[in-house]
Amino acid sequence: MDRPMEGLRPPSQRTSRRMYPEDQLTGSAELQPGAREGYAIELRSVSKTFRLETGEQVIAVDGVSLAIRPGELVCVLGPSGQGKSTLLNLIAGFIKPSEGEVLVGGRPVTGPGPDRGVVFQRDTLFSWRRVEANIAFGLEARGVAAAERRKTVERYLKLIDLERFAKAWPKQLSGGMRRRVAIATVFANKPDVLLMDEPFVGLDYVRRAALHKVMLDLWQDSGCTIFFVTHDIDEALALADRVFVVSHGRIAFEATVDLDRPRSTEALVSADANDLRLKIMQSIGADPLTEGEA
Amino acid sequence: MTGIGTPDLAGEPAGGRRRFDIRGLSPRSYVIVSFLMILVIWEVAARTLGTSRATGATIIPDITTTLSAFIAYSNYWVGGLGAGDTRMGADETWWGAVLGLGYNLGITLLRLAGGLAVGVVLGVGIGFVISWSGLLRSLLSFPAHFLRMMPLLALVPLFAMWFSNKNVGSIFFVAIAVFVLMFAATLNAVRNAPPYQVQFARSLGASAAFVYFRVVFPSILPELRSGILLSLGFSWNATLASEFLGQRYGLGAIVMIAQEFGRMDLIMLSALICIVGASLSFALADRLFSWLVRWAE
Repeated sequence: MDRPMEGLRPPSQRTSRRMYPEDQLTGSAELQPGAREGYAIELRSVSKTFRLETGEQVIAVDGVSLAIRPGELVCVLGPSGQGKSTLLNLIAGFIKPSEGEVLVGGRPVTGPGPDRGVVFQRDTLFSWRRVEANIAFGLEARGVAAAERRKTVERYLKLIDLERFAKAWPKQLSGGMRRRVAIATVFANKPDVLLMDEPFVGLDYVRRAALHKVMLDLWQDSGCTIFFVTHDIDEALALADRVFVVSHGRIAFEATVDLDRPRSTEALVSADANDLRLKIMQSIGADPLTEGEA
Repeated sequence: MTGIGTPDLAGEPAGGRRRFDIRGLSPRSYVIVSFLMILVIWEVAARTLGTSRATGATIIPDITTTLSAFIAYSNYWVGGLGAGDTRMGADETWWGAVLGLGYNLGITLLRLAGGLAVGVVLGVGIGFVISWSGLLRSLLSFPAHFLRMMPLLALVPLFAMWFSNKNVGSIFFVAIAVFVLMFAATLNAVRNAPPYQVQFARSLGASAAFVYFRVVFPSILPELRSGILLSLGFSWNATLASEFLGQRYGLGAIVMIAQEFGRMDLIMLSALICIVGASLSFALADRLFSWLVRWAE
């Protein structure tokens, strides 16, 4: 069975528990007509329905509208199987919406393209290419001249601090190093929008923090827009300008993260951060320890 | 974990007497031991069962007889380089035997390599091109696997009739055997190619053709390894089989002629040479392939 369907409930069983009335969702104040052209990513009443092998219809994304400004780093939070990855796949163009419209840079998405780089949760490095050839992949595929390719690869190897491993095969790298190469490969292709699907899952805290720094440096250096899917609230607070919580295929909560960058550990446990953390947790609806006691 | 009430059964009693333990030997010594065992069994079998009670003919030649049959290879030398053609009255010589074996083994190896190369290139090439279309791949998967069941050795006489004793007949026969194997292996490998790498490549701006030839193709190579090694073994069989019928030279032809003259020792020696040759070619192919996919995890 396809992964996006994991854990989804059929429409009949779907609870319509919503924290906020419809018109307050998804920063819809920004969705005024006439203000739309300037968005990096825009979803207009997008729904996606999958048909299971049993013939049952499952709604993975249910009428979502959202708008993301150029250069913004947005984190999409939520438990597994609630539609986060489906949203990302829709923007990437790997799947088509059943209803509604997905626009990137003001143009409708018709399929995958180099304007939208994707970093997957899975290891996607090309194992038959050395590290430098991996980073050069997109440039090569798009026919960038060899000299310019070399210059770009050198620059990104330096940025991810893997110059010594330029000639290494991917199998010779650690998990964290491989993620760095994958991120550099996507950044080297200079996409307008970067879509990241839980790219740091399975790494320990220190490695993950180091990768966050690498990613934020590259983001600030490139000025691209990042759509970052995660189920980790701390990760979202450490990275995001804005967070969305996805629940049962809908946006259940949206908030701006007003913490100065670079975000220190102190800032991430400050009263403001904790306040937001609580709201996010409540919107996810996860309070299993006290469930049934209320 | 050893819990309460579960005695540690694996523990050796302390202070036990040390005695010879075969498990302590290195892997290399195992090879030597098993090799010696085979030689002993062979020699014992030759001396006890080696002669037919009914006819008195040799069924299993002993080791020394087998090795000294080497000189008979000079009968399969075409003459020249200091050794004459025995069919023209020249004597059997060791030098002639070396030349005779070299000549016939060389012919066999050329047929094998030619057939293998043609079969692999065509099998992988056509299989890969056809796999571009998922529909064609699905349509052809069944006939491809069906063809693998074809009793190819039974077709040897047919090839002998088509090509008489030309080299191309042998090569074509081996190539078909290998083609069938590699074609099916390639269809299968493309079907198993990881879809997420294709998605990654597409999102980096690669065209469909770029993805197919530069991502899908290298990604299936490690999976072709077993197919190629299997093909190599099969091409030894196919080459010798094609030489049994309708070839005048080659190791397989020598075995057929030796059988007509009841030279069990020469058949045995030729079989040994085939075993050694096949093992060496297998090791070489394995090395080459390992180098080719040295990046594989």
